Amino acid sequence: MQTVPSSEYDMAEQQHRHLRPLLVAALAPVLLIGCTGQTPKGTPVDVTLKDFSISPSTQTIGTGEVLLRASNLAPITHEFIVVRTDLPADRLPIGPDGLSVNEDWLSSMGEIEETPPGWTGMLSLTLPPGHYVFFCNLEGHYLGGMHAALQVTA
Amino acid sequence: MTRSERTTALLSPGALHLDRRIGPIVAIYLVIVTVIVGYDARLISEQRGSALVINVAGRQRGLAERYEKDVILATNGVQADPSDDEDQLLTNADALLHGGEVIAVQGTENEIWIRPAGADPLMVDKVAEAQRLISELIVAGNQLAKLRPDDPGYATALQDLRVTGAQVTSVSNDLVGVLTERAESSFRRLVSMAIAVGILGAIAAVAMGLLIRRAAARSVSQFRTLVHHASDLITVVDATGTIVYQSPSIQRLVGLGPDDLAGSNYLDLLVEEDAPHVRSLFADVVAAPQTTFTAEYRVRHADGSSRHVESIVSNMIDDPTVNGLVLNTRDVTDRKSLQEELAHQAFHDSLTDLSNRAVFRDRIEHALARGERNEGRLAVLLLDLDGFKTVNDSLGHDAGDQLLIAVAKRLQFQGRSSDTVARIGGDEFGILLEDDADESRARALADRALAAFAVPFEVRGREVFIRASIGIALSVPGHSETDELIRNADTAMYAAKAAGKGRYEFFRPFMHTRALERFEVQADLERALSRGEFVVHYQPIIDFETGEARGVEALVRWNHPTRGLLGPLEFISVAEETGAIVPLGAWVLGEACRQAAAWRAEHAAAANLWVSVNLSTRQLLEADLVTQVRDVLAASGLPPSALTLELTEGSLMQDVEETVRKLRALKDLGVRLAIDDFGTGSSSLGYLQRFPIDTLKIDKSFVDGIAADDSEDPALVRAIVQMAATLNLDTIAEGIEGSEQLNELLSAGCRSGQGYLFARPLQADALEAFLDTADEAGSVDARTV
Repeated sequence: MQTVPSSEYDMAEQQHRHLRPLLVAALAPVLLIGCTGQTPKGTPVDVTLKDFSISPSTQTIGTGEVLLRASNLAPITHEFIVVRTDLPADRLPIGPDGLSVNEDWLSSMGEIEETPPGWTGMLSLTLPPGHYVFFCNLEGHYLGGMHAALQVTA
Repeated sequence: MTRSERTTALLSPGALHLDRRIGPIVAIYLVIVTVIVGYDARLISEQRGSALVINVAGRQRGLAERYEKDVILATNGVQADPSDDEDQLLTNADALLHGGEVIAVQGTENEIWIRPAGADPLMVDKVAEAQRLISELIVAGNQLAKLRPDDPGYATALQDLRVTGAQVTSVSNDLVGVLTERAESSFRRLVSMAIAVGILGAIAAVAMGLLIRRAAARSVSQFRTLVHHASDLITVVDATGTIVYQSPSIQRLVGLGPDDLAGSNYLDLLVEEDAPHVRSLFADVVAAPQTTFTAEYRVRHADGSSRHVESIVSNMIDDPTVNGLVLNTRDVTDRKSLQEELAHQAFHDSLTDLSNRAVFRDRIEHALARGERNEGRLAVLLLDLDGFKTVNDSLGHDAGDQLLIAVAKRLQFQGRSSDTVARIGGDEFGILLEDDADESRARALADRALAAFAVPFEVRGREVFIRASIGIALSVPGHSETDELIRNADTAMYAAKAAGKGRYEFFRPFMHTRALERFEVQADLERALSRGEFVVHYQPIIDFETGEARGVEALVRWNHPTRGLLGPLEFISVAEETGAIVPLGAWVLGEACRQAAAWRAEHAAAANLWVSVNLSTRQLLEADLVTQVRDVLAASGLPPSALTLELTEGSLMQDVEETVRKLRALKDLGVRLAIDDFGTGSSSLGYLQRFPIDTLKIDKSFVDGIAADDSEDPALVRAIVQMAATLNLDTIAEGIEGSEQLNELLSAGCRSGQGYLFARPLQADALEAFLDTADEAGSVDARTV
């Protein structure tokens, strides 16, 4: 397939196309959402994952169903975790290792465990109004800057 | 492939069919296995590279942790130098990205060569990120190294170092994770490939097995069909001759089936006398492994008859699939009888079943050899049928063959059993008289042989009179040779023919000269007619009352270029044998008619002259004789009544019915017919009644003796003339040489004749003169009587 890449995502997709069979197995749980007939629904919010940053396409969204589309543009695998908290995105509690967020203290809304480089993970959530934080909790990644906030309004 | 090789091939079924199909199966299998193994080798090679990267990535993680630790220790005053770790981290990171040498394990000297990550696009991003993070780690490490635990900012710098270190670890883990997953996948693929190779191998093995089984089954069934239906018998026996296997076609040969014969001894099937020979042959074959012998012998059929067979015996005792002697046997009875038949044919004449010329010569040779030892003589008789060609021509070749068979049968009864009777060729037979042959024995045998011809032969329901001439040659012990004897007998046989046929002659040396002359005549005759060497002389036939010539007899002469003028005795018999008589006779007939017509027209004395022309047996048998005569008469203008055709008694007897038919046709033309040389043949007057004859010509032999005192001839002549008168036939006396003869003839009642008393045969111009003189003289009577 020799189509000209039309976006950064597409380019990544092109580059790592040959790995697809390998990754299908790893991503099966995520992709199942799309495969089981429950078409991901909700207002789409695109999120870009990089080393080491998370950038949502918007910081505010109306309540209801949200479809989070996390595209990993980094060369390594990342996580994508959504928690509802009133804490600022960079003030989440750190665990005893001093390198990752202590998730036990937070209420998780959902997560995409692993998104390999070049892939986009989907997460469909119904979000009540409130303050939400996205982050990657691999050691050193949150502290390296992989976090972002989303305000859901009524 | 010989018969025995074929049998051997048949005994190893399937060998021929397998190669063709197993080849492609094995080839396809090998190609697939090669591709799979090649792919596996590539996977393994890749995984070896991945393992090295994993090794280095793990080492980088360890190095990063040690570096962190060393930096922290150093800031706390403990002796530690992080710069070594820095160098190694940077070297390894560069090697991971661009390829190169790294130290494999901490504290060891083992070096690892890493391939550049550029060969693997996925890895490039990761190792570049790792390199970037290591650089950041070293920056963070250097920042921290400038501070002391008490310094403000120390905690932040320490945190930075730890976070960056965690990120380095994270990237390394990611790298290792991906490579590990890849290794697992490769492993799964290797396992799949191995399973595929195994399955393919199993399929190929099963396919080959099935093919082998099918080919074997087919070959066995072909073998069975061949063996069952082959005209050749296949027998396997052990060293003692006990039958181990017998193909079913044995039934035809001995009347017993394979089941009846199982366990019995092959030698018991043989004709008793032949068994020892085959037994010793078996012993020879057993003594010489891998050899083949051929034997011919006879086997007994259950019905008591025996058959000739030929066996090719192969020693296959060493062949575990046969383990015995293989007999490939063929019924050669027909071939044997054919051989015997051919041998018989080689020595016998196929028509008469007498010995043939070759055997006849052979017997003479052997008899001569024996004669040399014991002074014995032998006689060779050559017998040739007189007028056989005439029979062949008139009645057909089948009739001729039947006649030859009948003659052969009669001849066989004439000699002793020790004598050899042979057909030399054509109508010529030979009889060899062995064991003290002498002239009297040969003479007796020749007499008996000639007597055998006295009774007519019955051929196709007709009676055929035929005679034979015999030549006899006696050997001179120690001086004769085969060819010479045969040639002499042949010469004598021709002499017998020349002397009048129906007789025998012993060879005399002077005959050679005569025979040679005969050959010359034969050769010259061919050309004489075309060269105009023949002339016709005319002998007047005188009316005793008037003395005038009533007619003339046309007599042919040969004006031979070297031998002078030859009379008919010198060449007519040869001309008859060769068939030259037919054109010659026709020429004489035409010439005589032309001449007679001319005389009648030109000479007053010849106004009513008729001409008498001799007709040979051969001419009489010509299918178109009547047409020929009619044409000649028309061409010459001679009235038919002025032509007399003279026939001999012998020629009339050849084919009586056909002759009568032709003579009637000639009579219908108006031609007159005469019997020449009457009284010399065997025909009776009564028999002659059947023919439409006008005239009898009394043979010279009667006229010769008519004037002698002690002769019976006057009475005979008188009887002939009277009988002829009764039958209303004219008579003409031949060969009148003296006036006493003429007087006797006149008193017997004969009214006309010819002879030197009146005139010799004259040339045409001389005859003209004779006619004119006679005319002038008034009558011959006045001059001669």
